[in-house]
Amino acid sequence: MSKFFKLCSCEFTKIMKKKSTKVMFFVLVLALLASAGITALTKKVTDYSDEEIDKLDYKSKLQAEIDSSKHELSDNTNNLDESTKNELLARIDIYQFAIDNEINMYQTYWKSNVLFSDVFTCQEGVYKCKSLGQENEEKNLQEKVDKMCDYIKNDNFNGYINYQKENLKKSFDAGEIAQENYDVQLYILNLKEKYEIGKSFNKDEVWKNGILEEIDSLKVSLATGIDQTSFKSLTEKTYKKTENRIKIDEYRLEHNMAPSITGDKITSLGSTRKVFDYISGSFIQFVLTIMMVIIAGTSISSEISKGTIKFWSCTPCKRWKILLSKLVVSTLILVICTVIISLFSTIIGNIFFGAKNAQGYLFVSNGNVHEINYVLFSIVYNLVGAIEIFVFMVFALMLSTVARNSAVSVGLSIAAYLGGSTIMQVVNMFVKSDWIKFIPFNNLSLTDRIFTGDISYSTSTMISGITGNIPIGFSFAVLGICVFLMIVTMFDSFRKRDIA
Amino acid sequence: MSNIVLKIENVSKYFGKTKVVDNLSFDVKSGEILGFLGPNGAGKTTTIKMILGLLSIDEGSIKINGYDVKKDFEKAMDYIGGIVENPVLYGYMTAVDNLKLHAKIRNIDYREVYKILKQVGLEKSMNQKISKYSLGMKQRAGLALSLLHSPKVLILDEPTNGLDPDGIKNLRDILKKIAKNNNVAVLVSSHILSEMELICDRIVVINEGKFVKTQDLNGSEGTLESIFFDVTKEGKEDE
Repeated sequence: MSKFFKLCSCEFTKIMKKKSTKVMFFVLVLALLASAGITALTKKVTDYSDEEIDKLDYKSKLQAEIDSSKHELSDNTNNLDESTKNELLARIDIYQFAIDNEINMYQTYWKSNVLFSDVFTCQEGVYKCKSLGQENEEKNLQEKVDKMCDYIKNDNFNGYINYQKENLKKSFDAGEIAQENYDVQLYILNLKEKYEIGKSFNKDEVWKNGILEEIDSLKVSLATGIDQTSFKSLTEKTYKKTENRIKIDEYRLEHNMAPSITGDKITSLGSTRKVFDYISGSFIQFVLTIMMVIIAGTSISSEISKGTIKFWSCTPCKRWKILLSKLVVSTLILVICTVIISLFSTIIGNIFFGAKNAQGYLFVSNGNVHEINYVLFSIVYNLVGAIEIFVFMVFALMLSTVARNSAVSVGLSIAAYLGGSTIMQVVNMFVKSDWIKFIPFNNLSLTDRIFTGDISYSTSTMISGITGNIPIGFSFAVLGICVFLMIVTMFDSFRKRDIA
Repeated sequence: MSNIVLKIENVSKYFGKTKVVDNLSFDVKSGEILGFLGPNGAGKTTTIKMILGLLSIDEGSIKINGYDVKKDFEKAMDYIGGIVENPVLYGYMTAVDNLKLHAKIRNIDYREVYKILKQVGLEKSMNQKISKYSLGMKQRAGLALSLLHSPKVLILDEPTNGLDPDGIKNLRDILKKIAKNNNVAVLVSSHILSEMELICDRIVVINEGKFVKTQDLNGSEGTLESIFFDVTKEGKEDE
């Protein structure tokens, strides 16, 4: 046993002294910094900064609109029909109101939303009724407009929500909307009221609207029994999943924890820190895979081609011990690197995106939402990713012992890593049989499938759509069998064959 | 009394269908330096590789200090050291680091590493990377490696390859010293007959994988050269 330990320690020394290993470590750190840079860029591309929004002179823009509308109205030469006239009249009123009450149309919050959509439509209706002479209707609409304008003037967010609730109740009583619809909409309004979503303009809280949208669609899914993203009927499992998802979403609202991506649109990015975590996670996985494939893929073949394997074969160590030490040390390096790089990515995230923005991972168990500590989660997340890397590493080591050629083993392994999922997508598109779930490539992307709490619901259903809803346990079994077969192959090949 | 430490009994080896080593048997006694001769392709290196456990033994048995290479591999390898073809050291490490790896596996004190490097005349360049070494220096480092654990049997395949006259003399001195003082059995294969004449006590000649002749060199009549050419001529006449 102690001899085996010494063999491992020698193997470790050998790998660490190689220049290529040092270069790969450097690339790993570089990848982390690059992911930080990319995160900063994504934020810049998708967002207007506060200053930029302030700089936009909305008042003069509105005034210009008003002037042009007035000009159009006063000009008798163009024969305007009634509806255009009404629209222009309404526009003049609304824009004037916006200027008077300093409502910036470039900012999305409840006031601008209400004024430029609901109030605008009502005001248009008022003019329409006036021209048609429907006095009752006109009075009704005018009342609505006045009420909403009052809320806006007095900055009465809660009042407005209550008013909406009343309207909802009215239309429900009148039989205009169904029970489920009423429930969902009331629920959303309550959430809005509770967490004051959209009360004031704050670009860091835009994600809350995305969460609301998601809850809305999930609630509809639950009510109708049909998934609103994939349009499949909910099974018992997906029903549970949807329920849990809503719980997590509400937990996010309650604790002000932005997700990385919200809603159906990828454009609505959440917390920068989360985005960084996501990007750096995939970067780490990519670079680490290539690094481990190079270490494992060259470990036997380069020793054979350079003849240094004789150095070991003449020592009192059996051949299988030599190979096992290589396997153990590569795995150990993988685990150590994963842990270190996870900690390192936490540090970089803390430096560039703020330590207070680091948030734990959310999951539901027994109907309650739990939070895992941030650092612990990033280690666990990357370790689960490392399982996938381990599979490719064993593949490289196997090719290295069987083919005894570094180029073949490294090249093929990286090709399998990069091309495998693409080829599988094509195959999965055409083959709808059940057996495709036995293909190892369909059982990868474990992290995305296990940690679904961080990506939006629609994305996670998309991923499970690709991999055909294979249970995680099944995937582990398939990968385990693969690894076992590869290990048996390489030990058999290494033990029997001559070292020329 | 000198006892047999390396015993090769009826060993055969096939590469595909061709028999490369054919029913070969000979022994090496401790304290003896044995020259292992034969024309190119005679099966010298194959035999040496089988002794060192690099190639599997198809028929027969090889015993090192009484331990069978096939059955008791780890114990047999404890008593043997050697270089095959080119010295096998990691180019990106220094000579000291290379030897330390070896010392670790064989439970040897690190002080031995420096001692042995001094003995082969590498103490000045022992902290250089092996890739910067010349061929002769690599040979010396390889010799140091194979001597590190003070083996009972030392196998050297073409050890004088690339050595300067000084190095050859040094090698000769070391071999004679360890054979005499430490009672080590040495098996040397080489093409340089004049060298072999100076180093060896006895020679074994093989041709086409078959044992041909063994001869004591101490007080023998006829030079090594005449013995060698007799053998190769015989082989040619057969064809």
